[in-house]
Amino acid sequence: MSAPLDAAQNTGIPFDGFESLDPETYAELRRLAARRMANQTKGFSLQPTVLVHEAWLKLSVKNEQWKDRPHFLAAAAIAMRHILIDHARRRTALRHGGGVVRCELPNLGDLATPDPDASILVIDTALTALEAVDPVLAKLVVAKYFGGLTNQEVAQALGVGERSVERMWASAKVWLFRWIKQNQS
Amino acid sequence: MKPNDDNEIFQDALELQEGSERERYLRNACAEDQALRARVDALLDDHASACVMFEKTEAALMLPNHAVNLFGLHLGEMIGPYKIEKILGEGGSGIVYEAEQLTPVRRKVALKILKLGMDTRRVIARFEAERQVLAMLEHPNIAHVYDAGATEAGRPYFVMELVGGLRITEYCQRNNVPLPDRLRLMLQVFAAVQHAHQKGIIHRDLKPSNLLVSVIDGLPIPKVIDFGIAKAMAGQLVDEPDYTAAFQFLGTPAYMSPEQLAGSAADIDTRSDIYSLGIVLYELIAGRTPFANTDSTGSEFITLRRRVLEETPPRPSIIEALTLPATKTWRNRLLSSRTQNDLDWITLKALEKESDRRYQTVRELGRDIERYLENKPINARPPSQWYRFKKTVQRNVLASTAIGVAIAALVGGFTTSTMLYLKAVSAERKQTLLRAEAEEREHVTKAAIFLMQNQPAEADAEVERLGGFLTQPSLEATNVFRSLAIWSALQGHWKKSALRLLSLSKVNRFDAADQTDNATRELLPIAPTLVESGEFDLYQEFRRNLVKRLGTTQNPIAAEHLLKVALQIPIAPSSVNTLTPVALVAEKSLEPERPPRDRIEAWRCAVLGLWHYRTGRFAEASAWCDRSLLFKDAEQTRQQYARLVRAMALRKTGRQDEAHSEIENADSVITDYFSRPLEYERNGVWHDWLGARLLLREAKQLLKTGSKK
Repeated sequence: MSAPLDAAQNTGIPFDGFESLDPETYAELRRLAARRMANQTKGFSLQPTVLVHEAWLKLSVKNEQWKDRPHFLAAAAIAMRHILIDHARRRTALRHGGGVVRCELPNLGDLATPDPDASILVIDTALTALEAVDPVLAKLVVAKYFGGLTNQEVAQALGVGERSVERMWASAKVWLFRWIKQNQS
Repeated sequence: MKPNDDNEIFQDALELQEGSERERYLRNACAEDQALRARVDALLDDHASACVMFEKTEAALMLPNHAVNLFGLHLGEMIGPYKIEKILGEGGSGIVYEAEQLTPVRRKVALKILKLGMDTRRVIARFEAERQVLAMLEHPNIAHVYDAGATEAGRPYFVMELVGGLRITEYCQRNNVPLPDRLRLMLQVFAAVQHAHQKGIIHRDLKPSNLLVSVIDGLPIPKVIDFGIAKAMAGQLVDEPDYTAAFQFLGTPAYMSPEQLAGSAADIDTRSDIYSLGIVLYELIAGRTPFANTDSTGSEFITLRRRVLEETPPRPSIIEALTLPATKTWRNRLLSSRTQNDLDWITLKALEKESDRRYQTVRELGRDIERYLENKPINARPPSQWYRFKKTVQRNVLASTAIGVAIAALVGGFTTSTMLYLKAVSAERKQTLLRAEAEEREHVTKAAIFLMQNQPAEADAEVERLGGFLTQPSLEATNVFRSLAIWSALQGHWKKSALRLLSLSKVNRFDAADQTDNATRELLPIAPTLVESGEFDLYQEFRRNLVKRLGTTQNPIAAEHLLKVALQIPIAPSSVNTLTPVALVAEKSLEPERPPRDRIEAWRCAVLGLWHYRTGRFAEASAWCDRSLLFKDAEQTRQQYARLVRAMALRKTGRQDEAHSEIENADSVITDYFSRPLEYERNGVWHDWLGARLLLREAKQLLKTGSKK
């Protein structure tokens, strides 16, 4: 007869969160998150932890088990993209006094007055277009640009040679730039 | 080898340095193809512009250090009637914002949003349950908690009085506050905590970040914040079987009492707060906490936990002398060594592992500090010689005894040394035992950690290695054995469960075995598990010991428990008589003839029914069972228990048919319970089901022997 203890004491733990996350993955996620945090100067900060939690939520909400390290890296980068874009939207909304953000494409000629948040949102839109045309190249942008992965990690996540990463990245940047130029109002 | 398209030429060119090198390559690669050259040049130009565009977004790729967005909050946002204005800080359990309350009153408040891992509904329900009491907290050194709620994202938040100022430790450090003034600050904190304790409110999370000092009219005023919050969150932290995860996000456990770290929620009381205050006091005297600050994750947490549970903190004055540079001026260096010792004893008394040995109220602790400040004798005493000896042995440094004897022989002459020799021999024996016990305690600690990680099988394997040397009362061992006994039982491993229960009875705090109602309750599962697993000899021995120890109790609950345990199976007539006094105690506790008022009295009636049955007074047995059955509720175990005793009594008086149908009914109810996965409680506790099944077997046997006649 077997009645597992947790069934007997099933009081319902709210998140099926971190207990299923092994310490190595946690550390890795934390390391990735730290690269996306400003002012990581003074020793221990809880901030990356917070970001990890958020990333973990995004990852686990998708309920997608990663099979291996490349898969994990790619998934973490996607989570990071969502977080950064959410953040940019929110900041932009705030600056415009709340409400919904209209994601207008900036005039590239006006890049002299750069608004990083607006630009990143535009790049995100362009990236969605790229996904339809060249999924691998799009994946590279997510991993390198949003995920902040090193070339070595990007190479791992995409299963390409490390040297190809910079070459593909150059092409991707041009593609995105041209798409934005063509589509701006 | 020629690259074959625009893209490759472009990528190759980028790898070369801009200028003549790249130019040479391009000329070569494009040869005479002007159109190709133009396309590649365009790519290179656009690449340069693209790089500018991407560089400009860099700022957006870095999240600000305060991660507002991550909690779904931004400045200016409204949470209920509160407008978020700025971030005040971040702790282990959440982020605190300054907010403006707009209705019904306009005021500045602090709004604390809890982090991930909290069950919002439960946190808020717990807070609501205590809101009335919290409202009664009126003290100048306590910050009000006004409200609790949930954000749109579902995270719980608390609204509190906005308190400025620095952590008490930081305030003292920055201002070089002299020791007596540090103590006076703590006296104010004590008064606040005492006020709350008198209202029955325990803080549970006293630490410097919850003790803020601000200067008002030139006077430093400490305020205790977060009253009621730790309790609302407590369900997430200690009640859950799996609370390591929760602990990891709690911030430092350096201020938690041993009972909190041992995970025994039931043992947390006002004296847990006294322990935490003791740590803050220690830090203010010595400059650091006794077991050093570590971050609360992983192995460091486990190390700290073990040290808090087992090590005696070093005297604060020693730490102070070791760590603080002589130039530090805050310490009043004119203190005599006597008063310095006094302060050590006061602090260490607040930090005793067993809460019974600590100051029992914050007021007592405060009075000793006052006496110290007035240079009067204090109440705290250095630990006794024997106590210190024991602690020394526990740290395995008793090798010194033999050396001590040798030295004494040299200087003290023959008589003393012989005496010391004799002492040392028995000490050596004691030492072996204590060392074995210390080793076993290691296994128990490991088991406790496995249990925290929800790995009962691994915990059980640790406990399996114990050899029975563990005899000292121990909170940790009690928890481990209790958890594993239940775990084994619910898997149907009765014998293992019985063994764990026996271990439990050894390490449980037993000095007042019959003084509290709970002391004997833990004995109840032992009888049915031992009998069920066929350990009749162990059961007999257990019964004999118990009768010896509890046979003269005057506590009716202990008496009832003893009867229930001792009468589980038929008992020799000679032994049954030794139980007569306790049976009388149980019987006298009930008003004659009156139906039971609650389930406890109903149980007592049923047990008395069994007592009369075992002594051959069948009519009385039936009557007691009838009386027990007058109380109606869902507790099937008790009802079947009474029915089965009554059926056996009926059978003995020749009313075979009535007995038969009663037993058949009981059979179907009891079989049903055991046909499903075992639960700790389902219309009765597991061990009562086990006990009822044993009675059922006895009754069926009785029917069989009856039909043979």
